[in-house]
Amino acid sequence: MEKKVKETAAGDKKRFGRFFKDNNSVLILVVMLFVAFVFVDGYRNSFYNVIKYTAMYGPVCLGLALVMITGNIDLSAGFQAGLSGVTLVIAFNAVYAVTGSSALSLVVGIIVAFLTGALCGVINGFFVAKVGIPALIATIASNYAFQGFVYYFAKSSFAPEDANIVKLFAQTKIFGLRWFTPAVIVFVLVVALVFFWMYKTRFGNRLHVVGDNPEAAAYAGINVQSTVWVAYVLCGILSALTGIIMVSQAGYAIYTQGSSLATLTISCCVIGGIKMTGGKGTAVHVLIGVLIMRVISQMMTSMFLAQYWVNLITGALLIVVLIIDRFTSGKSVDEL
Amino acid sequence: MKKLLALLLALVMVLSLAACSGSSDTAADTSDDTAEDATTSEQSGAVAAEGAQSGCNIDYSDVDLSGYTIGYVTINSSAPWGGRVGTELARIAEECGATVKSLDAQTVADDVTNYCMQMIDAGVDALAVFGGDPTAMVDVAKACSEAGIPLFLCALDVAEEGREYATACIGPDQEEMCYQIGQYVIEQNGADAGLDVVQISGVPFLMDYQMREAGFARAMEETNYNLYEPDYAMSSRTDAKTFMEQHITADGDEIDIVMGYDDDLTMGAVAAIEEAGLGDQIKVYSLTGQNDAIQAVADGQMELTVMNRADDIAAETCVAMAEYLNDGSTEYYHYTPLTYITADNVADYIGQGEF
Repeated sequence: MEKKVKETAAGDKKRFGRFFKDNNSVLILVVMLFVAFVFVDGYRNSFYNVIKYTAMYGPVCLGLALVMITGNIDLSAGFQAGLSGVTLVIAFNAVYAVTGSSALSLVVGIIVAFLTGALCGVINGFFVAKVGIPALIATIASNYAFQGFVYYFAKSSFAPEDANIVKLFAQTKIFGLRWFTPAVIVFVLVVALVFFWMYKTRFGNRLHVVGDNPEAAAYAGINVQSTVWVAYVLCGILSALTGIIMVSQAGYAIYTQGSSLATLTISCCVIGGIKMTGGKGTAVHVLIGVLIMRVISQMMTSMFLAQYWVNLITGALLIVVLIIDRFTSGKSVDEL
Repeated sequence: MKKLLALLLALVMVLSLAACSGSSDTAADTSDDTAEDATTSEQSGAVAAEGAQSGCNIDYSDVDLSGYTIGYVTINSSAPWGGRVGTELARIAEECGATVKSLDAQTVADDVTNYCMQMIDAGVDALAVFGGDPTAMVDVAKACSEAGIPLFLCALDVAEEGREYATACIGPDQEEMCYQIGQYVIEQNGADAGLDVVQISGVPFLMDYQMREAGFARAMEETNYNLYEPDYAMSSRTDAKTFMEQHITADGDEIDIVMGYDDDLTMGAVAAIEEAGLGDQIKVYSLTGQNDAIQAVADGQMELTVMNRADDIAAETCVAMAEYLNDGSTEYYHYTPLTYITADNVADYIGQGEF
């Protein structure tokens, strides 16, 4: 009896150890939050920005993570978000000009934005999964193309005819709380949905199998091409959600929309625990990765540091975070 | 051992951030030299202030911003001229006794709005913004107005619907500046000469370039000149040179005039013209007043550059802030002086540019 109790305790300790190794990004986030709240003046008052911007950039990171889990990459996700935001405004204004109805214009605008994202994903998926162009090259090319479209449509900035209704999604303060907006609720639901989809459905599981070993997945009867293609389409749709939130937050579309997201999205995913080589990661990992990046970013902003310090410290912090991750998780360098 | 190392790294990170946090109350962009200058200014009064203003056309020796915290948000601190507006504003505001907090959106236009909102949250006494998109600045102006924080727009105005909420706009009238350049071109060449004009511009989406192009185009309406569509070299002198080389290859004999909307880019076009040996045929007009362009005017490679000093905008912003914060009101438009530099007066300005 005593022996059994000891074995159970040892098993619990081992499970806890494994859980800690697999989820050390949680510890990193806790440390970062501790540093921010204790040492950075004014951080408490600006923390709502961390939540707001996590909800904004989270969907596109989630989309990229799905692609990365299949062992691929999408460098165009940022401009997919930007382009979707731009088409939202174009569609909104076109429908508004004809009908004069803000609600109808918003619905059509959102549908068009999601279709734009999905179309971008279809294009990327076609070139990567069907044609067989390396994902890095294919999405660099499509990134240029999407950027071109954003520049073409969004000369300077342009606002929806009724910007107030568009702003409701990201700017309505539920219970008067600045961080509690419909966009945050939608993002949390999306994280939960993607999390359970990946673990509770056969198709969701396939993403990991394909990313872990595509040859074995093919032998097991999984259609690798269609799995990768679907991952890109989902990435496009989730990027579109980011685009919609960006327009809603700003109240306009602008030519730089999405331009800062290329490196940010990859950093968030990697820090959260998504393997560059594929096969590992969950929606929660992405959420934590985005939170870590936003906590760091907000720290820099709250300290009003000069830009060279911001770049230097952000880079140094990322390296420190990854080194901590490396030593506490026992991952090899190529797994980071 | 590995866990110990990880712990050590975390400790280093914490201490580094604590150190950075401790220094956050001081100005972001102030070099040691500037700090020394400011100290000297306090000790030696008017003489030191005069020294600090050398080259600047705005007298700010009486400006007192003691005890105020100024927020400054810029679209891009790494651009030569735009970056200088920020460094000069920090320097001059500190000389006048203010504390300056700066944030740089690194060319991401939508981050300007975000950073402005954070400055409002931080409770600055006044907010200055350089390069904010006019439409995007409407919400910022409204938020500033609601928070009771005066908003000062450097070089670029807010869109019309936001003007009632903003406090002041400081800088040259960019459209008028380029209209005047157009008038000078007409004066030199005549309105009926039927000349072909190449336009070298910067970033097509930025409102200041759009205003400059509009001003020149307005002047050209009075002529029978043929205006080529503007080439957008973004921020690259090399790209500007390439555009000019392409024009020379295609229409070398026909080009009479180059209108550049930024000296840094125009100098790329000048290099292409000189390499092609067309310096006698093509007349070049530009603006900004940077040193190599002034030298090009002296060397006969350019007809005109207009000096639009960043420190004038910075100093005038401090003047406007002091007026508003101390007296409760200031004029909305504070136009800064422009210096038209041609072959006639270039000798007085060689080496007098800000960079």
